Amino acid sequence: MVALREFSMAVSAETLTGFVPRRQASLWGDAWLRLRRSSNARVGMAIMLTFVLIGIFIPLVMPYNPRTDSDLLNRLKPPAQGRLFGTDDQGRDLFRRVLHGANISLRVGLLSVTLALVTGSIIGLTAGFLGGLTDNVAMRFMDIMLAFPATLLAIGIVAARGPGLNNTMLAIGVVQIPVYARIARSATLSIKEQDYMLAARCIGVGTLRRIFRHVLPNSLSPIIVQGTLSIATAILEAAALGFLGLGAQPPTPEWGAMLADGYKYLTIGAWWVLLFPGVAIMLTVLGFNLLGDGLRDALDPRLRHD
Amino acid sequence: MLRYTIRRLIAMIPTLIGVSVIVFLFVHLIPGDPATAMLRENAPAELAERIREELGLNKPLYVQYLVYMLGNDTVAQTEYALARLLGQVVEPPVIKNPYHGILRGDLGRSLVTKDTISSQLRQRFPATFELAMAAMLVATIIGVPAGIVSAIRRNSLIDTTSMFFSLVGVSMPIYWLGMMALMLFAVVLHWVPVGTRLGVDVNLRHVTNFYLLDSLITGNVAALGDALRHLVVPAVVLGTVPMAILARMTRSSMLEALNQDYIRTAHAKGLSERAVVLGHALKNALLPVVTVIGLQVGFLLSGAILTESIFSWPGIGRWVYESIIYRDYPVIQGVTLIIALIFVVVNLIVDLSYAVIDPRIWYQ
Repeated sequence: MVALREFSMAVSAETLTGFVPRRQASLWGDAWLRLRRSSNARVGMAIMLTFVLIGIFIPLVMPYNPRTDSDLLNRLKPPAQGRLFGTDDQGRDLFRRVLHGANISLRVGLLSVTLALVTGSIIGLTAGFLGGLTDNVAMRFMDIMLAFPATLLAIGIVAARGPGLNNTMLAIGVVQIPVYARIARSATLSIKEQDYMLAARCIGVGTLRRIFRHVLPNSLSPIIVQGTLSIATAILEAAALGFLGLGAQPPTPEWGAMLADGYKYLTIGAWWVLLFPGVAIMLTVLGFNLLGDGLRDALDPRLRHD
Repeated sequence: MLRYTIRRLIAMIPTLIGVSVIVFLFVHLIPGDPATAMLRENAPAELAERIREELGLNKPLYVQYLVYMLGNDTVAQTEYALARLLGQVVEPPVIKNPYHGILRGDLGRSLVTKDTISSQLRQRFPATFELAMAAMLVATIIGVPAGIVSAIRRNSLIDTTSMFFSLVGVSMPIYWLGMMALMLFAVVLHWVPVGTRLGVDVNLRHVTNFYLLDSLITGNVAALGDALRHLVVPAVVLGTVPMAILARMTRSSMLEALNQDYIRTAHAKGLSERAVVLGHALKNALLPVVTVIGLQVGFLLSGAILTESIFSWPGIGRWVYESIIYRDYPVIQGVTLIIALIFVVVNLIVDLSYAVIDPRIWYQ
């Protein structure tokens, strides 16, 4: 009897030790750990944070009015002490203008991606969840939008609506909607078949609650990855529209518009007017691309516990 | 395969109708009214009224769409026939500016040059096609090998360097790269000519408007060399983004293929490294790469708008840019439609080419 009890205790103790779970990291905790371990993602995060901080704080600590800024005695001066990036054709300090450009790109990136992400996800979630006619109609419409190259569609929208920063954000947001609709839909389709969805339905959870409390949180990770990469695309496209004269209008210190300004002085070799706004665009976009790639690797469940 | 192709062609019809509706509605997105938008601010009201009349903007929207698709002659004749059928007494229609509708290949006329858009397109499309093909060629012959080498020598210096450059490549505004290249090679070093497709002193008989082809047909070596010198920098610039994407895609696809069991088997049975990589891994890794090459067509066409404006390349991209400046809405509309059409067709071809490349895929 005693032996038996000892045996059973030994078994349970061993069972216990054998099954003591390692500290169970959540998907997000786990992802964060892996994100920090990837050097690419760390560089991306550093660039992104710098860009965001410049974008938020420069307008506060260094107020700037592009309309009154000009110094015609110092036109097109190359970089030197006191004017790090040189001056442009109005004699404006390029360093100051490039720093202020961060705020505009930050706004374009965030607002247009928010527009696309929210609208697209709602369309995708609803289409995937309801299926049938809703799904068919919504997705056919998304297919039609995808039949246009994105930049061209954005150019078309802005050309028709009229140039300006607001229409730029609208256009860039609209052309990205189908991307999110597709991602959200395919995530929804696989989640819909899970047992916990059946369970939720059995205990009488309503459709809206099932979509927003169960499907949405579980489909978030591909949407977040896409969101980060889309900010990169949005900044790049806003600059392209600005360069074509469709985006932010001069004298706004938008990077693409600054490049369009500088283009006129290419033949006289004024390289600094072109170099610095271009590098600013490239670094920012590179940062978001690195971070997005890192996030994708970190959030991919197939790579967990590698 | 044939049945699948036909089914896909039929499925394309609703998409194309949708595309035509969006392109048609494009003019109606213009705030206020396209007629006033085309005129200067202080233009007389009668002029706007005349444009409205001429463009048929005073008709109901669905009639305007039908006119856009079928032409004003067809619609007017049908209206006349219908009225006669209903027993009304009507005058036969007189059409002053005949327009045949996009279904009959009439894209309308440019507001600026008054030329038909189709005739302009015939001149400008070869320029863009030549540039895009050259760009794709550059991208493929550099991007694909770079991806293969990166995958084989994973985490080596070559791998890290080429992956770093490919990330920079997709993060760069191509018009900026174009301007920098122009400044370096044309302004500072004087290695290549600036802008356009051919030097002014070069004579070339235009047969097809594809200058490389024309110079080959006519045996004009001087023109061939000159055309190539004009082509190389714009092509490399336009090819940068596809090159970067191809390198990344080839690398990850190769890595996946190299991890498969049959690669281990191939190694185990003593095949040379070369035979394993080229014969086994690369063959299987190519499928996603072909997709990516196909999908870049959309990028090349919209990237052409930026590249061509930098290099004064007289293709459809620069044409879009110019028509944006002059608010030449029919041109923007027509070219957008053509580009979307090309994009849809190329995507279909990419889908169909899977079956040819990969015998495992069998379309029912």
